[in-house]
Order: sequence, then structure tokens, then C-alpha cells
Amino acid sequence: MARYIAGRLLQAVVTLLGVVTIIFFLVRLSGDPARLLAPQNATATDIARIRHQLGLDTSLWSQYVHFLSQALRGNFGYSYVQDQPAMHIVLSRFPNTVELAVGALVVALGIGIPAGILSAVYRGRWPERTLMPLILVGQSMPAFWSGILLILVFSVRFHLFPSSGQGGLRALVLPAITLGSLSLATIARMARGSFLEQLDRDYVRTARAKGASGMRVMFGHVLRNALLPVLTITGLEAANLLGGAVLTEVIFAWPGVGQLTVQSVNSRDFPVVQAVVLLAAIVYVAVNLLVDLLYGVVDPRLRLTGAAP
Amino acid sequence: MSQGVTDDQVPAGQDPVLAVEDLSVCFEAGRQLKALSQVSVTVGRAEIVGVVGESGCGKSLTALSVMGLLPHNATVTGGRVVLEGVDLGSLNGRQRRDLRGRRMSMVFQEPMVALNPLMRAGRQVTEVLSVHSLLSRPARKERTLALFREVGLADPEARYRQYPHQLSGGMRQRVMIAMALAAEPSLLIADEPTTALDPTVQSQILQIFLDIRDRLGTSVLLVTHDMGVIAEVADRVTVMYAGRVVESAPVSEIFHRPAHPYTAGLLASIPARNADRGRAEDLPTIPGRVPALGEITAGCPFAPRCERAQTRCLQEEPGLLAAGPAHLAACWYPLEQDRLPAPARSET
Ligand SMILES: Nc1ncnc2c1ncn2[C@@H]1O[C@H](COP(=O)(O)OP(=O)(O)OP(=O)(O)O)[C@@H](O)[C@H]1O
Ligand SMILES: [Mg+2]
Repeated sequence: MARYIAGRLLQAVVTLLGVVTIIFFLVRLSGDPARLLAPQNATATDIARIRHQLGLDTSLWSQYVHFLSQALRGNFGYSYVQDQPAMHIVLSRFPNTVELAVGALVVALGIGIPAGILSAVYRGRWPERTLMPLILVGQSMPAFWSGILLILVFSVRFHLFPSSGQGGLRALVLPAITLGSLSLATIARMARGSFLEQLDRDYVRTARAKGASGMRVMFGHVLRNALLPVLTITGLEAANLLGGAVLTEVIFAWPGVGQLTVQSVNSRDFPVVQAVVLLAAIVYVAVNLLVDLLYGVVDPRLRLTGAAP
Repeated sequence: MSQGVTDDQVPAGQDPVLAVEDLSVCFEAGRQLKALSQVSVTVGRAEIVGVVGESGCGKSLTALSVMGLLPHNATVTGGRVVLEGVDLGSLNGRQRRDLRGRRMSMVFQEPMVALNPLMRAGRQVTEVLSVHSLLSRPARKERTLALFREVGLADPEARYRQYPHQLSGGMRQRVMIAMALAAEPSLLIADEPTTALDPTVQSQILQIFLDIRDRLGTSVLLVTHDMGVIAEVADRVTVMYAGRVVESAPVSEIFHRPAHPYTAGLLASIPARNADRGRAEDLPTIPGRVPALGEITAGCPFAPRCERAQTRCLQEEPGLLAAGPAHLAACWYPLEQDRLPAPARSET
């Protein structure tokens, strides 16, 4: 097991190195930050001075080496815009993104799993015929559309929930629904397919042959087996959500990492963009590792071998 | 077609534990496909009745009909199933469920997939007791460990805690049997319980059936396609072909005086039990193949493969007729009863 985790960690380091490298060069294609930082009537010399201050006047290669050697020491540079370490800014936004991601996952799992189960159990009957199309509609509405719709109805018209900002559970409701409805469909469909598949398995017939009730068969036998693939997909969704939800955060003025990403890309705040991407990648890798470890807990078949599913 | 069959089969003065009477089952697959046609089988108390026939002849469907566990697309279209005097068709779902696992239980063909992969072996057995008994948790565990010993599982404590994937096929089948016996049912249905197992384990498992029959008086309906298994344990045999019963008789009758050419063919294809031959696939079998569902037309369904078929066989379907004491066969031209028949193939 320890060897397995060590292997995964090594893999993670390689992944992270690849990600920071790509983002390092990618942001530098977006333009010159000095031009944005300089005042309107700045001269070419002013701009050159700013570039020198930011260390952007050296060769790309030496900038990259400098960036890596600093990053290895845990130093991800200073924001060009705010007078703070870039990672510090990102981390200060991270709890808000976590809050939104958890809210969205609660919505997606809380509705998606029961909906998936009901559609599987009442296959071809009204629960499936109403739930699945509804979920599909929810998924096919882009966040900027469904988010604005929710704001119009529940904030503007009925004043039930705030339309923007963060603070308290009430403020979380609309953004969580907007963001969660996207993952909801994926999870519901996965749960439905997985349940249908499990319902045909021989062990279900064995359980029924024991005289177990429908409820007992469902919750004692099928549920756990059927949720294994749902666990994988939930991990992927969680990892995505934790990287920051750009659209939803912008619509609801949610001060999370997604909003920060947009702001820092717009102002070409390279260190912050790099820190955002690095953090998202770390979270992604960590969540996936966690899901794999969780698999070992839930599925005894993977426990002794220590192999990944 | 098979009127009054059951009366001939069970010794007088004894109610059968199980009586399947003229059971018909159809599949809904675009059109109605008849999979079982007026099947009758009885099992007396402490009796082991074998059901044999080639793959696809409806053995499992018969077993599942008794349990009330037919696939969703199958419906019972006629006949009835009577368990200890109770017509199962007259019961509601809940009453029927209460009988499952308690009065009748079933061991399935594939021990590899019949157990829940995420549940420890012990719990899969104690569950039967949670459903059907008022035993306390420790008592359920005690009982399960005792059952594990009864079915020949070494180190029951360890098995109790293991997951199915940690057990061999034979061990899993023993767990299945322990599960089936947990509530001491009157009827145990075993659907090819040993097919997936190697020959030594096979004999040990069959021995368990003999054992519980002798000790607990459990009746067993043993589904198999292996005449050798029948010879080893069964008291009576019902031979099925294309969803019908074609012959039914005590074991010694079947082996010494088969009346139906199909039965004779099955007997001719038994491996020499002592000569330790390979699997059944390598052995001589009856030429031709079983008609698919819906392919069956008029006449005897076996006629196209039968060496003895006459015009009548192709036109009129034979019903079950007496072919000896407690012996029925559905054949217009049964094999003569006073000689050992040659295998169906070698007559040409
Ligand atoms: N769910 C189903 N849908 C349609 N046809 C089915 C279904 N299950 C079984 N059948 C058909 O019903 C017939 C009888 O099947 P059954 O499983 O009872 O055969 P069997 O005698 O047990 O064979 P085997 O020795 O292979 O287990 C077969 O022709 C089979 O193809
Ligand atoms: Mg079968």
C-alpha cells in the first residue's frame, strides 16, 4: 500500500511539473502585463522599467528557470496588481470555492442519486419519464442562462435569496443550484445506468431467493455495488468544481478562485494565474488519489492487492 | 396432454412437498414465446428428484417459477405450483416472499457471481436468519458457523469474515448451500450446483445433499444436465426437452429401461464415470440441436432428431403415457421395456 501511494505521489509530481510548465508559457502568450500596469500616458521607457521590475526583460528560458527554482522553495511570486504573494491571494479565495463546490455537490448528489435510482427502479414508467428529461434540461442550460434565470425568479421577483455575494447558507443556494445542476445530470445518469446493471446481477436474485424484501435488496445489496462507479464520477466532478467555477462565480459575484482567475487573466497577473492553475492541479491530483484510496475502503476486492481500479 | 400425471408419481398416501402441475411459461419478446409447456414435476418428502435435459430445455425456468423469481419478461400462462399443499399462485407477493428462503430455497448455477461481492460470506448467511428468524445477532452468528461446519467449510471463523473473492468456487458454493439451509427449508432447489466445480468438489457437494436429506428430511429438486450426477444422488428423474417433460421415472427405471429415445440418447452420452474423462463437451452427444423457442411446430419436438420418428411423430404431439410402474414417457413409439436399448445413434 505504501509503495502504491509513493508511486502515485511520484506520478503526481510529474503531472504538476507538466501543468506549471504549460501554464507558464501559455500566460506569456497572452500579452505584455507592463502595458496594462503602466498609466495611460506612459512612455516606452516607463514600460521598459516596469518590465524590468517584473523580471520580464530577461529571456523566457531564464524566467522559467527562475520561476521553477523559486516555486520549489514554495515561493510563487508576487502579484503584479496587489502587493501580496500570489499563492496567498489564491489561498485566501480557496475556502469560498470549497464552499461553493460542496454546495454544488450536495445538490448534484442529493438529487442525482435518488433520481437515478428511481429512474432505474421504475424503468419506463412515469418517474423515469419525468425525471430524466428534467435533468437533461437542467444540464443543457448553460450556467449564465440558468444562473440569471434563477436570479430573476428567486432574487428579483420573490426576494428569497440574495442575487450576489457570499455569506451564509442563503447566499449559497442559488450558485450551488446553478453549478450543481451541471454535475447532477452526469451523476443521475451514471447512477441510473449503474443500478440497472446491478439489478440484473445474479447476487440480486440470490438476495431475493433468501426472501429479502425489495427495500432490503435495494439498500442492503444493490446500493453499495451500484454506487462504486458513481464514486469515481463524483471524484472527477469534485476535482473539477474545486478548481473554481468561472461562470457561476462571475454571475453571482462569488469571491472564489474562478472569479480570481478571470480577474488575473484580464490584468495579465501572471504569478496569480500560475498559482491558480497550480492549486487547481494539486487539488485535482489529491482528490483523485483520495477517491482511489476510498475505493479500497468501499470495495474489498481492491483492498489486498492495493491496485488501482 | 399430461392429465393426472402427478398422481402416478408420488407414492400413495403421501402429499408431495412440491407439486408443479401443467406449468406453462411464456416470454414476451416482440411476440409470445412459449418456454415451458405443461411441465409437471413432483418432489416427495425427503426425496431427491433430478431434472435433466440439454441446455435451454427449461430446467432453470422451472426452478425459477417455483421460487417466483422468473425474469421480468417471463409470465406464467398456465398451471400451478403447490408447495406443501399451498398453491403459490394464490399468495400475494409478501406471502410468497415469506416462503422464499424459509420453506423453499435455491442454490444457483454460478457460485462465482451468485454472492454479493461487497458483503462478507458470514453476513450473507446471517441475513437469511435476520429475515426469517428472531435469533439475536450472536445466535445468528453461532448458527451460521454451525452451518459452515455442516457444509464442510474448514476454518468457519475465517470463512465467516471473508469476502466472496477470497473464496474458491467450491467454498462459495458451500456458502450458498449454507445460506439455502439456514432456515431449514422443506424444499431445496439446486440449479446445476456442481457444474462449475471440479469433480472431487462435485462429489463432496452432492454428498451434502444426500446428508441433509437423510438428517433433516429435506426434499431436493436437483437440476442438472449430467446423468452421472443423477445416478449418484437422485431417487427419481424428470427428463425435459424443449420446455416439456418427456419422461419421468425412478432412477433405476430410467437407467435400465428408458422409454423415450431422447433419454436413451442422454444415457449414451454419459461419460464413463470411472474412466476420469474430460468435460461433457468432448463426449458423444445426440446429433442435431434443440429447437429454439418459437421454432417448435406440430408433432413431437424431438422428432427431427429422432431415429425412430414415424409420420405420426411429425404430425401429432405425444402426451405423457404410462410406460411402466411410476414411469411416464411422451413418445408414440417408446423403446421396448424388456431390453436395454442401444444408443439412439448406433441404430443406423
Ligand atoms: N430472459 C429471457 N428472455 C428470453 N428467453 C429466455 C430468457 N431466459 C431464458 N430464456 C430461454 O428460455 C429457454 C429455457 O431457458 P432455461 O434457462 O430454463 O434453460 P436451462 O434448461 O436451464 O438451460 P441451461 O442448462 O443452459 O441452464 C431457453 O431457450 C432460453 O433461451
Ligand atoms: Mg439453467
